Amino acid sequence: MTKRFVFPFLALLTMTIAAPHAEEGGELRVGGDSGFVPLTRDKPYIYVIHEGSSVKIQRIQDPNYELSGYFAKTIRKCPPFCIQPITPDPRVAVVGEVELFDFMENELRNGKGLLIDARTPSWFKKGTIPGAINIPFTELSKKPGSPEMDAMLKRFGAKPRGEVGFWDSLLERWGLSDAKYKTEKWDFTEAKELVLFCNGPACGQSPRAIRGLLAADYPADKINYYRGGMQLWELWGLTTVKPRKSAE
Amino acid sequence: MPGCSVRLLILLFPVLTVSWAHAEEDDYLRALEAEAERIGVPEPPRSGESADSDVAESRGDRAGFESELQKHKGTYSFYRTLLERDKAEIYKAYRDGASFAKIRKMIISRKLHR
Repeated sequence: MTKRFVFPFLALLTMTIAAPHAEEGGELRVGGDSGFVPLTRDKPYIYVIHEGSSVKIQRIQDPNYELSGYFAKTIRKCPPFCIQPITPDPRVAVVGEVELFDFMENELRNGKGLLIDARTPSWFKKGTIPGAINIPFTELSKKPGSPEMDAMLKRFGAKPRGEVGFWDSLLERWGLSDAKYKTEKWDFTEAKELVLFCNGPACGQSPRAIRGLLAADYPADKINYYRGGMQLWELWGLTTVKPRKSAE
Repeated sequence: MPGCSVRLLILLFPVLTVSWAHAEEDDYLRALEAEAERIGVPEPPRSGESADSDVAESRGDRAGFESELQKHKGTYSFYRTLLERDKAEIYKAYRDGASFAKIRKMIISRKLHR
């Protein structure tokens, strides 16, 4: 009986004593003199799961590397490939690479978020951001209430509410019951946080997908737009993957 | 007779609007597909590591994981005293996408029960 209490106590004591020594162990030296260029000041690289395998995301370390190919192009025909506003809807947050790294390490890793490549499969198969799944904007801009859109909302974790009783409706209307993520038809409380992207600032595919989701009442504060998309991802020399499977 | 034409136009208006929207969507898709045909894969770096990682070939290294773990001093102090096979098992869980909370639980569990 005493042993059951003594051991955790000793463990805690060991932890306290060991902490300063662990600190002396030193962190991985990145940037500066080491020559290694990290993702951010305190993050050398990260891992994400892509198609069931772990993928390391890091910057290209060749100091002479320059971007070439399609994403190095500075001009495209407009319309349709016009420069997009900073956000497709003022209610939707715009994220950059650093926020995307955090999202990958938290929501994506814990299964509470989805990184969506909203481009058509012909683009996706040429390379994407690790951890992304392909849901083309054409699938995300289906008519609200259509079976396709309903199936998509369920896939993202929304639950159909069915018949909402009088008292529930009343309490929600009076603000006595939490209705933040509830509409008449859907409960989005457990719906996943989404980050959508496409080819970059001159790409209209993810903005269309976002507008489609908003039209279907998906909560705007659970939608994020990575406007930089593939173009900025490639410009920073970040790891990309070529999908093995056909687009989902 | 002119009144009849106006009525016909009013009746056809929703159909024409929907058709126009579909035509616009189709044009956009055609332009996208044409552009996708032209896309070239970025040139790989002249030396050093490639930005393009085939999923099957991508491998993380354990040293990197342990460096990350060192930021969590208490957890790391437990981890470093574990048996090699426990460390390998924990690293495998990390590679398979386990959350940090789960990694921490595994470390504590192995420390306290072995």
